[in-house]
Amino acid sequence: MSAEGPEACPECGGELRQDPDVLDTWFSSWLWPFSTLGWPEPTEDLAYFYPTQWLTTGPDIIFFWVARMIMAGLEFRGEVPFSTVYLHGIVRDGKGRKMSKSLGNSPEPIDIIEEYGADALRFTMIALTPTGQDVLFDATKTELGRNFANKIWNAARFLVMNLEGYDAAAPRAETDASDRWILSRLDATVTEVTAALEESRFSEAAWGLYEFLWKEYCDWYLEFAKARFYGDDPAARARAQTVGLEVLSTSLRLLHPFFPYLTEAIWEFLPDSDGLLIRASWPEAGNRTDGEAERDIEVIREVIAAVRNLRGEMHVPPGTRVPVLVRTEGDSAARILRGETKLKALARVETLTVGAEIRKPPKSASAVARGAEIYLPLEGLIDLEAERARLAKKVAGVRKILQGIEKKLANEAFLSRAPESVVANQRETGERLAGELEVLERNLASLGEAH
Amino acid sequence: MKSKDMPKAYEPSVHEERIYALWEEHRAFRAEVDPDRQPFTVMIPPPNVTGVLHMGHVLDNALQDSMIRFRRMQGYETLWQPGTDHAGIATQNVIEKMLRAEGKTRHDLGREAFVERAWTWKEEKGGHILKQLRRLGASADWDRTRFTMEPALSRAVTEAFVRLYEKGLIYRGNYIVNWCPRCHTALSDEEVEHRDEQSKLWHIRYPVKGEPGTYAVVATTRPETMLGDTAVAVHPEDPKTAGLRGKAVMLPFLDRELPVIEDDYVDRELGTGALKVTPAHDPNDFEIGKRHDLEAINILNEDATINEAGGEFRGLDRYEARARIIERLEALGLLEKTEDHPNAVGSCHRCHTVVEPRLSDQWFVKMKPLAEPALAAYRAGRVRFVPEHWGKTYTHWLENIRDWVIYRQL
Repeated sequence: MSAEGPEACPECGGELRQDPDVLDTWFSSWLWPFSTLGWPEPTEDLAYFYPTQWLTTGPDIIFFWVARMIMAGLEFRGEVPFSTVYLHGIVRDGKGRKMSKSLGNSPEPIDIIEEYGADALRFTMIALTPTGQDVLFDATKTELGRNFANKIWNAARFLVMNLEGYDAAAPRAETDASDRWILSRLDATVTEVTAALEESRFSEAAWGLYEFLWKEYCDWYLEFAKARFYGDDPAARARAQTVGLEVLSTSLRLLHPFFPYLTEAIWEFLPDSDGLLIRASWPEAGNRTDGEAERDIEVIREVIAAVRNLRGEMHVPPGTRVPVLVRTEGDSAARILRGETKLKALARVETLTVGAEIRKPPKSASAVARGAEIYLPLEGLIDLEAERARLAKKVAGVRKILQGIEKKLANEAFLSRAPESVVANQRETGERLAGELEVLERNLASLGEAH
Repeated sequence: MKSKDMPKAYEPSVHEERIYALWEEHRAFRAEVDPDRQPFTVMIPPPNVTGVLHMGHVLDNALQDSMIRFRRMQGYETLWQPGTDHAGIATQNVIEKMLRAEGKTRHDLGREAFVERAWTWKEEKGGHILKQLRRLGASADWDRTRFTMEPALSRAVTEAFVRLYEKGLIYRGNYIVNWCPRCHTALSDEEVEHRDEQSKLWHIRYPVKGEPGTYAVVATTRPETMLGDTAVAVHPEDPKTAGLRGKAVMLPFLDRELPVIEDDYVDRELGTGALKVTPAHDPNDFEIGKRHDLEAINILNEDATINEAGGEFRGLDRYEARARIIERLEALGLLEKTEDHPNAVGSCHRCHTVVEPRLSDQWFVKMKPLAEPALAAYRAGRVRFVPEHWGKTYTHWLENIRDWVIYRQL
């Protein structure tokens, strides 16, 4: 037997006919890793690109295809065809059922791409799929990817608008804590995302980028940077522009595998981007870990969040600037004082007083952040009488509902007759309302005695 | 576009087509042999050439494209090798549907013309799924797209076959296939649909040789197959059938002597504990037949009529034969009882005719000599699985591997 297709049998000289039966198609697919590269011809492609590095498929064909390819690779090329096999789960609907035409739970990918965009679909799929597990998917989940895409676009646009007059050679002020913090976080993110992708931990890489870009860069760094963007110190501005741009540019490169179109589109608008993003080099982490800066920013973020919270709870008008007192000392006090400008800008604070001896002023709301006690005196900021009345009314209302729940839960007949889910619901609502009541009563008490 | 005027919102439809074209214009997906760079190659699991993109493909290909773009940016010479698979049956189905609309069948066309038709269809409509992958942003080297049925890859198949044959790793042997008597073709397990039906279970008496009045009682949902019985099996430790051990029974109608054999496979809990063994017409019986060196007697023609081995029932359709046999058994006093029996019946997924397990001559690949190096390579860490636990599944299957039947029928 030879592979050329002999016309005559080499033994008896009789006529040969090709066996009319065709081989199992798996017999062609087990050769795929090297037949595609030219095997059995000794091509350059075969010598260079084989063996391959990475393969992904579903575990349902680990025997039919993956194991057989490994056997074929060893038999015909003397080496395994790929060093890593990543086995992903299957895509199920939101209820965990297999997707099928008859169930009508299998969305058309092209439809989703047309509604949300290809990147949104890719990112969502990857983010929602833990390594090797099944993913529960329905079309509306793609909003996750779309919202993130829009967030990135908006942040980039905000930065680009503030790059007016950007000149890489212009003199720059020293970095401030937020610069050092974000660069420290950037380097950590580069390291983490790179490691995750090296190990095929796609979902982790995706969420790492989500947290960094949205929760740190957009929500905080760009907010902090506004003061320098809108201020009248060109050197400070230049510094904020440089750092803001570096973080965005590096982030786009990290994001490119997940949002190829979006990132390529934004890249076109960056002043220092050269050529296509698809060809740009993968970022290397710098050595800018800065524990001090990270702690400074962590502390001030919490204080800002606490003050914003109090403002919201006590209905302080958003435009009103407020006095803030903080009872703390040592390291904590130092960090808060260093972040004074940021606190004043982001929480609309007029005056900040920090010290170990500070006492809670009368008629003030309070919160705790990082062991520091934060006081927001309300006299003159809000109509205390009106707020007291409003809160008292709310407290009474919540107390009444709670009483009703407690009565139900003490009623034997109810407990035995009502379905379990209804009883559980009552308990949960009761717990939640009890928590709310505590906050309301505390706030009411802060307002002091009624006149 | 170094303009400071970024539009207010990101609109995918404004950018996707344009940017994909830009990438292709710049040959960004292209991979070339480059001795100054390390390669990073990913082989696409080739989707069916008739396939349409579904959500599973989205996940699979999003993962591949993310990995490829990552490595490309890291400076590797990245090749994402694309292509499609002819996957036999699926393509065949599509072509046959086309032919039916023309009032023809593949037999009218003959094999060569059929294959030509398949190619024409493939050139015109095939690979639609690859276009859909492009919309997803897939950065595969499309210039290198392969198809499993193209001459070079068919040549690889022949080469592999010949090499294995010359090494003695390929042999012809008997195998029970799922046979469709209407399509005249063997079907893989995936091509057989199973339906639950209310069948009957007939309990038949086989007289014990030399002991008039004594019987072995066997039960079957397919009495016509009794014509191919070559043994009756019992469990070696079953007290119920102790009296049959070492004896023989006479097969009604054909007067063939059937030895009583002992085999662990027999379920002691089920019925009488005596099992009729038909090696040519049941996959489990085929295995028993191999273990005990039994003859495999084929009693069916390709169209599921009884053949010459079926004695007085030759020429009858299988169901006619069944009815006739029941009648005759009753007349002979050899039908012990009949009961209702829910049964999973397999039928051809194309024409819905009930399939028959049938002995057939097939090509096999000896797998053990191939499995050992594959196990060794995994244990030596030359291939790894993510998540790791799949290594256990892989190992278990290779350690228990059976020879591979590589025969199909077009």
